[in-house]
Amino acid sequence: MRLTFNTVRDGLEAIDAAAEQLQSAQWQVSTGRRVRIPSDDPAASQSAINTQGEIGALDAYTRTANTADAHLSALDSTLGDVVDKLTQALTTATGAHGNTADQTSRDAASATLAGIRDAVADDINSRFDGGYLFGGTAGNTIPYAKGAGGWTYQGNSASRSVEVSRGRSVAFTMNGEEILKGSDSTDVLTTLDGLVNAVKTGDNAAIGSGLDALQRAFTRAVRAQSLVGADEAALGDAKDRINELRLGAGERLSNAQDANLADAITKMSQAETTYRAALGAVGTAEKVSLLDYLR
Amino acid sequence: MGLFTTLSSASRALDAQRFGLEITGQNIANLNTDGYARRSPILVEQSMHDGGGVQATGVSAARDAFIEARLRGELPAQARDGAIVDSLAVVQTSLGQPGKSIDGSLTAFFDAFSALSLNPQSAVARDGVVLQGRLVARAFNDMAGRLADSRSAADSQVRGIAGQVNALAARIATLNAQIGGANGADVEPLKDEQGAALKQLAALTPITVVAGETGGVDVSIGSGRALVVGGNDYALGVSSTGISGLAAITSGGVDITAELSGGKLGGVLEVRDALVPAYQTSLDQLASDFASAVNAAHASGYDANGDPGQSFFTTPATVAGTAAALTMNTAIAADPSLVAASGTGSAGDNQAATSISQLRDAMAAGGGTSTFTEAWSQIVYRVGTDAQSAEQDQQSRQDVVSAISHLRDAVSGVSLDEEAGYMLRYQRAYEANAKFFGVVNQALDTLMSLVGGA
Repeated sequence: MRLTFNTVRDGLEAIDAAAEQLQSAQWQVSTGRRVRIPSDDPAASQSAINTQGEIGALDAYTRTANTADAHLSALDSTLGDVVDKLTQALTTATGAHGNTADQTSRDAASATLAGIRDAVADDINSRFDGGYLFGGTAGNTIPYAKGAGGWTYQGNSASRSVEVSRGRSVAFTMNGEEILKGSDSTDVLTTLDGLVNAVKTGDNAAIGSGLDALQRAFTRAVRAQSLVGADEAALGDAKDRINELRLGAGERLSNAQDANLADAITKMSQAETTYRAALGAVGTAEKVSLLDYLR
Repeated sequence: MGLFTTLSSASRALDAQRFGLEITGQNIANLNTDGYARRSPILVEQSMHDGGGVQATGVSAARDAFIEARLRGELPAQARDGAIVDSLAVVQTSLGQPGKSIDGSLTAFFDAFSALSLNPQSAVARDGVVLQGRLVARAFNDMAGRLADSRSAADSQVRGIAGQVNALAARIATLNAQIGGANGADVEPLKDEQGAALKQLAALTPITVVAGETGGVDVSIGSGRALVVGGNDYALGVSSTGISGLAAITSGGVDITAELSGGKLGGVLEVRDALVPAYQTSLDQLASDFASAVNAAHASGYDANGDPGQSFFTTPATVAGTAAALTMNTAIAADPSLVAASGTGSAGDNQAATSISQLRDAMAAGGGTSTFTEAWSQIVYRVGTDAQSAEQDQQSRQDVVSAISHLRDAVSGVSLDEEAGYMLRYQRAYEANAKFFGVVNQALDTLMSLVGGA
């Protein structure tokens, strides 16, 4: 068979192919990525997109979980304060119950109870992150307000929940009325109002019924705090799980689109050698001709 | 045979060797000329009765019609795959990187509703939702625009290729006429040009070539549509059809677009009429599914004023064209308080915002078979596999074309080494004949001096 050497076709095709391999390897090394366009590895491209979406969802869950965590901490500490105040109120009212306290002591106890009432009202009207913690979903309406007719709950019975992981939600606003009133006929603020007067006047019957109401409110507050505590613990588990999933997703994404640098550098070296060989082969073949030997 | 006859014979031999050198020079000069077939001088021995020696009677070109036909048969498939690869390279680039395209916009949109669910009364969170709503709509618009541009670019190529086919057909017809009317003149350069034109034409669209008796060729395309018959060419027509205004190829007034499935023209038509429209359909379906799901969730909620939510996105009446026409509800875009975050009407409720943020994981695309992000990844996967498949096919076709090209070169190609050998051979033969001419001439001089002396 006759052999001819076509520089344009054979030589440049070989050089182009080698140059393309070298460029691809250089790109992988310089960017650290393996897939430049989908046709490089369609399945990896698809996996990278889905994993990026998964990472986006996990990051969103992390943000909501962190926000929910902060809200739950605020609820926990506020409810802890309410429990402390109700404990003080129980102690103070119990001390004033019976016939042993003189008027001076009763006046002091009455003033203490008034202070506790105001502190509980402040607690239940706490704001956090621009909203009320115990107003349900009523928005910017203050939960408890005192008017001419006494204390009124202005929030609602709903609670605002956020999704902290797939299918798991955490409530981070509460129904203040459920804590302060529950199934009683009056809320604990009104009860404290009554106790302030009853202690001052030495009305033991009223103090006794007030103590019962305080005890029930105390129980409700402790139960609410324990529920928040349970949510906090569960949220901690959820965050740990999200972190694990996030790490796993990051690894999957890396597997899908990142280059193995050691492999990429080896390939670049090989591609460079091939490129030089292609250039050398074309150059050598071009140099050699029978014409060089004819004189 | 007398000395004068011998002198004439030597003179013809000198002409023949010089002719051989000229042919060698022609071969070397056309070493890199596409379509050039190696020439050889036709040297015929002269009988001693006719004065002896050698006579250069013509030139032969080394061609193999079977190999040329094989090459023309393989070129269309290679060119078709190449056209698809080139066109899809642009489409692939326009798809963007994972996390920075439609999928990234969807993630940011759902993130905005997630942030709103944390604080439904936050004006900043509402502004964020409006901003991301605009951006995700624009992302769909831009992607639809890029796909439409790819289709338009393919259509422009269709028109351009039709023009190239017509120009080549006209040239082949002219060459047919020139070859047929040569009256014995050297037609090999014309045949070289004819072969190159047929090769170029075959790369554009599959052709059927029938050689004529006079050296001309008749060419047909599609299902036997005449393109060149003798000295006449029948130009393809290009007409804009339908609302899209895409080009249809006609022959004799008949639309033959569907018949042109091979060559660069077939590849570009495949991209324009099948591949890109399929991507557009998928993108429109994704945009429609996304907008419908968000609109339904948004309309079930309440805005900051306690009024029922409106449709968040405005979409056309049909799924087709949704990606290009998707916009945010202008009223919501102008007044973020109209974003429906509440599910109950209470200002601090976040159920509607939560529902919309949960659509991120909802199997609400592709008829309930995938999430929106998965639907987008499927589009990217399809483009990637289409391009990869075309690349692999093109490579295997390239190997075949390369092998046949080597076969053609084995017959028709010019070898510099071979020509160098011929050059030396003709040079030596010329020198020997010149020497012989000198000897005979010297003999004649001797004879003449004898005659003069007498």
